[in-house]
Amino acid sequence: MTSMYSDKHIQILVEKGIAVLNLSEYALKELKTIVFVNLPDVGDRVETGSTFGDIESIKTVSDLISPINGKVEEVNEELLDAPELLTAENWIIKVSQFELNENEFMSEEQYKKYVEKCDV
Amino acid sequence: MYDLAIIGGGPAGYSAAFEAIKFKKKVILFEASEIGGTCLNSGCIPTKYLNHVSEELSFLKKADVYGISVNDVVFDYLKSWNYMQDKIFQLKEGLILGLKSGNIDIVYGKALIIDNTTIACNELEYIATNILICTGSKPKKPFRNDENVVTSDGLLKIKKVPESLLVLGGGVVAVEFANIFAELGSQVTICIRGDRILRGWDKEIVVGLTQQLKKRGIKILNKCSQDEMSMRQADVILSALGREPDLDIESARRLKLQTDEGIAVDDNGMTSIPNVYAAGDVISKSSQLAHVAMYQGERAVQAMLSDDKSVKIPVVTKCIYVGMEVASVGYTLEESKMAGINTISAKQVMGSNARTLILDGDRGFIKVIADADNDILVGAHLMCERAGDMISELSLAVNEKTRIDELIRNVKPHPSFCEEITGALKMLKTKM
Repeated sequence: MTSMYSDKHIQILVEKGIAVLNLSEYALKELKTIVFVNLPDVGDRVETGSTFGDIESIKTVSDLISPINGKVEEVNEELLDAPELLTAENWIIKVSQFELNENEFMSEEQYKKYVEKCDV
Repeated sequence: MYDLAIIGGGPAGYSAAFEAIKFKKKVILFEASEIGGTCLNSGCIPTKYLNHVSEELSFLKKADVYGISVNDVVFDYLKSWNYMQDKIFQLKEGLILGLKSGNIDIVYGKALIIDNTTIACNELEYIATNILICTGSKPKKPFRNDENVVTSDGLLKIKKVPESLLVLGGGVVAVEFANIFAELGSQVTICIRGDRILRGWDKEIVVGLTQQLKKRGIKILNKCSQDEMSMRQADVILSALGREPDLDIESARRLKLQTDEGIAVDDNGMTSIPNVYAAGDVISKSSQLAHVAMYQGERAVQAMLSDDKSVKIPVVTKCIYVGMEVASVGYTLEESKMAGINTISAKQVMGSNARTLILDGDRGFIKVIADADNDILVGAHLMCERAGDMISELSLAVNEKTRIDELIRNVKPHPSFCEEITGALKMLKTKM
């Protein structure tokens, strides 16, 4: 499976009809030390363009903006106890009942070019 | 013959008494136990004392980083417990002195309302034009009969730190006691029936505080069955399953008062009988907050003794003290959206706040919720140092519908904890 990226730095990976959302490696590096991850509940609806949680670093709070509409199927609750586990290889939430138009997102190559000229 | 008879000398009762003497009225106050009520004798004050002690002990454990060497820290709970009684005594004496200097007659004993102007106590009858019932609340009876099961009243009477403490329930009382005794050295486990502690609080506070409590070594077991809550053992088991009105059934029956889970009253505290009022935890749907009880006591007196029957029910703050503090006023994010408000929110973290950094404070934040259409705050939820003091400014803003621009113009001292309120408000403005 190949990853897609939103302009709000969310990485999307679709596996067996479930969209797995994470923060991009670039965004994680920019945020540096993460002290808390604020997550939705299983069963919550996420909406395109709306906040589904946030990431606290020592100095700032960065909203997690959903790239899709859907239902939260699973939440990575181990991040609550150990936010340092949030890496590019991990995940934040898994979403079902979503509609996804691949053309609206960036490929890894496109995203790399995109982050060269933006801030988180 | 008295103008006002008050039954119960807790926050609602004594505040009502002080208010009534401003109207130059003759007041009698009946108290069945101790002046000060639950708040002073077995609630807010002793728990804040113990919270303070646990904070001091916690500081000593980490004092070395500040270059302060403390060898052989010995904690004597009995000595500390006795000092707590001294503090309670001092506050009570001050209160009693204030009541007596206001020429308020205090009668100790259980009062029985005979009719809407007559009260019996210690085999004497007293006549009053108005009656205010402020008999408070009591912990709900535990569902376990083991001899080591106590309510919050009982736990405060134990003069040693239990090796292990099992807390049944996840409300404010449960969380505060769990934190205190964990910091004092107990192995603490909280058992709750639901998913999370602190039902009804802002979700982020609930999740954040859960993490803090876990870091302090407290086990939180959720979705516990009745069997699990009945079987689990510890040296001391605290039953903290809520409180219920402490209502004198015979008095209520004689007056034919409506008493569905507390005395039914109107917004001024008037019962179904025009000269009989009730205030504080004894009323129906009480918030069980001492500061609300005080307000209700004063409001009832204003309504019964003056022509001003207008009422403006304020949005009130609620707090939790667990070393760092939690304070909340107004809508949560979900409530604001449910109310149809064009809701925006912002969160300022305390990690880079100088004062927080100096004292090595835990993770904290100030979250503000606003009505974007009207540029006013509708809620604020704080989890940080001094939150209980800082919330007052935000509570005033919510109640008075102060514009966010005006709040931002209020220049804060630096360095201070409260300067982060401005940070949160400025962040809100960027989202408008």
